[in-house]
Amino acid sequence: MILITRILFVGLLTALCSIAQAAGLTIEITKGSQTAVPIAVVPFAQQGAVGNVKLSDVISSDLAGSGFFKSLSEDDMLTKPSEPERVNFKDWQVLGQDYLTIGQVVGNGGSYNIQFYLYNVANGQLLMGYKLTAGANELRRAAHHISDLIYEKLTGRKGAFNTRIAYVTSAAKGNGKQYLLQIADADGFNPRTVAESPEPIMAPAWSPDGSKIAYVSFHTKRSEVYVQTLSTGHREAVSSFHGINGAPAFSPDGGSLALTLSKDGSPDIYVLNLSSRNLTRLTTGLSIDTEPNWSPDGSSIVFTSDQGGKPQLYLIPSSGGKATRLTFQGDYNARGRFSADGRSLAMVTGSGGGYRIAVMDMATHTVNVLTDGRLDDSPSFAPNGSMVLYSANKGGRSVLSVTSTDGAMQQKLAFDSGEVREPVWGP
Amino acid sequence: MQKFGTSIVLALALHLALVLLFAFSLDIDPDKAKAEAAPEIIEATMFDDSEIQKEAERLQQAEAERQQAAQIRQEQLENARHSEEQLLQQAKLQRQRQAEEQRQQEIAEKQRQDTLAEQKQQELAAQRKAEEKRQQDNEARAQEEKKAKEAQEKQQQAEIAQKQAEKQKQAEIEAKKQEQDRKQADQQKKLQEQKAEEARQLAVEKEKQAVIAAEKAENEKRAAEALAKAKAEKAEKAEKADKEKQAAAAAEKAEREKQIAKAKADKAEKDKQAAIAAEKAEKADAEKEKRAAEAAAKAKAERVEKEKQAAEAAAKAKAAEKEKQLAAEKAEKEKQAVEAAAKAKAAEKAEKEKQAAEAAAKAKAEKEKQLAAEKAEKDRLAAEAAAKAKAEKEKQAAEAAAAAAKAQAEEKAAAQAAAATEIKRISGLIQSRVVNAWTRPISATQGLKCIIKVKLLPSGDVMDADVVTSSGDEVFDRSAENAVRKASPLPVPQDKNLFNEYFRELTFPFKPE
Amino acid sequence: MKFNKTLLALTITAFMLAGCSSDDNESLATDTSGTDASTTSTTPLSDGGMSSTPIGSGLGTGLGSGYGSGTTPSNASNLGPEFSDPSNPLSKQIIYFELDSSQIRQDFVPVVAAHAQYLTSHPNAHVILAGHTDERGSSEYNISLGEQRGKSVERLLKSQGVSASQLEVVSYGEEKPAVAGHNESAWQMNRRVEVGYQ
Repeated sequence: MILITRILFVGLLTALCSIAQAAGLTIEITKGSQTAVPIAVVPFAQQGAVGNVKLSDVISSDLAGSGFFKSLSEDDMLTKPSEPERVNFKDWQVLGQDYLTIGQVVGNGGSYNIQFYLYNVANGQLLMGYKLTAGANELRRAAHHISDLIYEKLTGRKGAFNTRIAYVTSAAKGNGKQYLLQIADADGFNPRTVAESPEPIMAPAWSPDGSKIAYVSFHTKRSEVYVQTLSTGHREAVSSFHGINGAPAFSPDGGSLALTLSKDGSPDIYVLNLSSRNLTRLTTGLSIDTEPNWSPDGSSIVFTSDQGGKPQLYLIPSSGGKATRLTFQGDYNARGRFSADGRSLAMVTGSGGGYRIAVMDMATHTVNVLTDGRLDDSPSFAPNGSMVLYSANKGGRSVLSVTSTDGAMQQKLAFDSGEVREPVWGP
Repeated sequence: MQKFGTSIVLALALHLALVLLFAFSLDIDPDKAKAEAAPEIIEATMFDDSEIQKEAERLQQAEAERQQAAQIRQEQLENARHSEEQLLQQAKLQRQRQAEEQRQQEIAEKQRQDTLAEQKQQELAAQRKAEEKRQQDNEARAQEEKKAKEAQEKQQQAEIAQKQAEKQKQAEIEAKKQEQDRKQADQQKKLQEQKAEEARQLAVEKEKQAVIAAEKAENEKRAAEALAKAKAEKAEKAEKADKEKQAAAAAEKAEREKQIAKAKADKAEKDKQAAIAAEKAEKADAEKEKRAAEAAAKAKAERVEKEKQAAEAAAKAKAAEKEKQLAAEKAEKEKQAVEAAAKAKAAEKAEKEKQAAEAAAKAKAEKEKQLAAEKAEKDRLAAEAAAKAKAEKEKQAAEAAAAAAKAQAEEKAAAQAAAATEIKRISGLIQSRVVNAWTRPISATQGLKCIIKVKLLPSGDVMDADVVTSSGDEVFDRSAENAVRKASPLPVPQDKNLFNEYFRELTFPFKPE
Repeated sequence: MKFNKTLLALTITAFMLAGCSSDDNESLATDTSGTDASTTSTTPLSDGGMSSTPIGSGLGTGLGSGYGSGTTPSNASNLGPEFSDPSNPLSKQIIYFELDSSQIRQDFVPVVAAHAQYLTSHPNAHVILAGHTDERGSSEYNISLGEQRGKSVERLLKSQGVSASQLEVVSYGEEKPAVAGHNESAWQMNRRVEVGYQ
């Protein structure tokens, strides 16, 4: 009996399988295009007294600047709904859009109530609906927050639009110059000055929690490294040795600072424990060893060394040990900076034609050159690793530039006048 | 039996017991034997000192041999150690060589990537240059148009100037007429010379003032006209400039759209051509098969005919030979009969008669035999021919049947092949539609796979699209589902049977590569 | 006799067993490749020169220094007329360098020699050797390159008898170009060491 039932069962299974096969073909899809995803951000409807910030413009340029999206221009929109009931998805399918954002802003005395919806145009599905409240002067931050939410939902990655950058500007003042260390939003808006000097300021570095900035200042006519607390403005000279004090870099736990010091002869990498003020020397030798940067797990430090003749990047355990060479391509590789996931390393790479920004994949050691300038410098990753901020030379001036890590999108950050250099992206 | 049974059982039991005892005794005995033997041996050696010494010597020799063996083993082990060290050193060398090779490969790869990156940048630069050239061409065209219009305006101004010249000539003619009238008036008024002269002087002065005023008025008119023309020209130029800019922008947009459309059209055409080529290839294959079958059938028919002809020729040859033999026999026999008659004419009439009768009878018999033989042979030939004819007919019938069967099979195969090619073609179209509509998320990693099941309406519209196997990444799944929806309506076959059997439900596995 | 013989037998068997065990004890030695571990010095250095005094408070308070902008290297009011005499090598207070090099060019060696002679005869004179580079490449690496150039001039001066207490080396890297411009004619004017008398 059991045997008979087993045979019947197997027979049923095979019959079902054959039925299933007869029910339709299987067509394999393996290729597809990795182009920017088209998204439409409809201007938000405004009620009440609303500030002069157009949220849809901020969101569109955030998303397009990441290189992942292509924002539909407002002129091409057939309709501009702001309520879910008014949305007709055919209007957006015709324009070839994949996603649609609509919203409203209501001014309420000094604060604003913002509501937005994100739709999948192909099937009309509502992917996300959100209500936010923003205080006065916080409309840009609210827009960046909406960009973060949309970006995370549609790419699975964290957004980096509500982050800050630091940089140094210099302009003529009287007979000399004025150098300003400034902090601004990631899109260059809302700059604020953090330090000022008639002598150069350089190499700003953020602490991992974003509360402090370390930098090099020459205002005593020598280089010194300072650590400044942003909320209070209080600063402290942590390294003022004989010779060079430069290239500060916070460890991932914020407790140590890697430095370049030449007090013992030639420039070498040292690690300063910020609480005990213990100084540990990591490199020795007659070559120049400078520009340290910690790996995100804190186990190793990448630095620039010309022990091989010309500057190349090397990796050394942060507790000391033997340095191994990382770069073999080109005759100049310097200023290595890790991405937050440790998988990529940005650097300045030089060859015949000039100095550009390149990114090395730490797993395969392949190097991609992202920029095509001639005097590019100081690259740093956005916290989500999707973009690289660096300084370039355009029209004889130093300007800041942002490129997506696949090199597809580039944006210039505009400043009124003077030179802007040494940018670094905050956490 | 019962008596025998119990006794047999008892007997068996006894036998078993004996066997067991024997076995145990066997087990026990050897130990005992050994135990007993060992002390016996010891005792034996105790009694014999020379044997002890011999055994001691033997043992020492054994030890020596063992030590030698141990030494040999040590040497072997040392050799093994040496060889292992050498192997390790070789391995180290190999690792070093491999490391060097890897470095060289890394350098080579990085050089290749360098060149690739430079090529990409060159391509980007080339594209930018091409765009700049287009812009310059547009500007050149705009400038040419401006020049053409300026030429037209100059012509218009020339015409206006001509008209003004004509007007001036007319005014001069009128002035001359007026002067002639005044001269006649002077001649008539010669008597009133003083008053007339005064009047003339006054009139001349008035005329001069009038001419001056007229000239001033004409200059002012000309100036006003020139100003008006200049304003009109500026307005026209401004309008033209705006229109040209708009036209240039529209032209660029149109050109980009045309290029995109052209690219899409090229892709569609390529797909169609590929499908058509596939169909043609399959049709050619089917025809080739038919021709081959026909040729084989013809060959077989020819062979059969040749065999028939050969058989008939052989049969005819045999019949001719037999006839010749019979004719020879007849001739010989007649001669014999004549000779016999000639010899025995006088004596044996009866014998002659008898012989003649016998000869006649023999002849008749022989004739009958011949006739019978001939008949038999004719029958045989006829039977053989008939048999051959039947065989041929059967063969032909079989061949016809086979041919018919082949034809039917070929039709079925052709129909199936046609259906299969149609399925392939439509599947290819669907695949390329969905691939073109799929925007892969940039975070897609290798190894992700999701399966979308789709239900179609007969028009090809996607009725349902569901994720039956998720890749684990919501973004990836959504991109796959969107791709299928955006590709709707999908191409489907015209044949409803084909549609119902294969295309009502489709399964799309998405695997980025 | 029995016991002796048994003892003999036992010893013989013991020899046999020892032989066997010695065979077993020979084990294959595994070769372990040595890893070179470089020793690092982890001496905690407490430098008395490092001050931790809080400097100023509040945002954007500028800390002006007592000196000028620094482009004029020397405080010329203390120096004699030979420093402004164009025919005197002491009037040249800027030493130029080739690309990627910290080697003093041959035509500037007499300039350095003149300054060495002045410094040895004026033991109270002090100079700051300020090293600079052109703008190409990474700015922090260029700080180190500038120091190399300053130290090269310092070595040459010391080799001619100038005492170390009269010399100090500072590097500004690419931060203070003498000539603004993005071509070789500007860059060659920026690769320099400035001899700044205090």
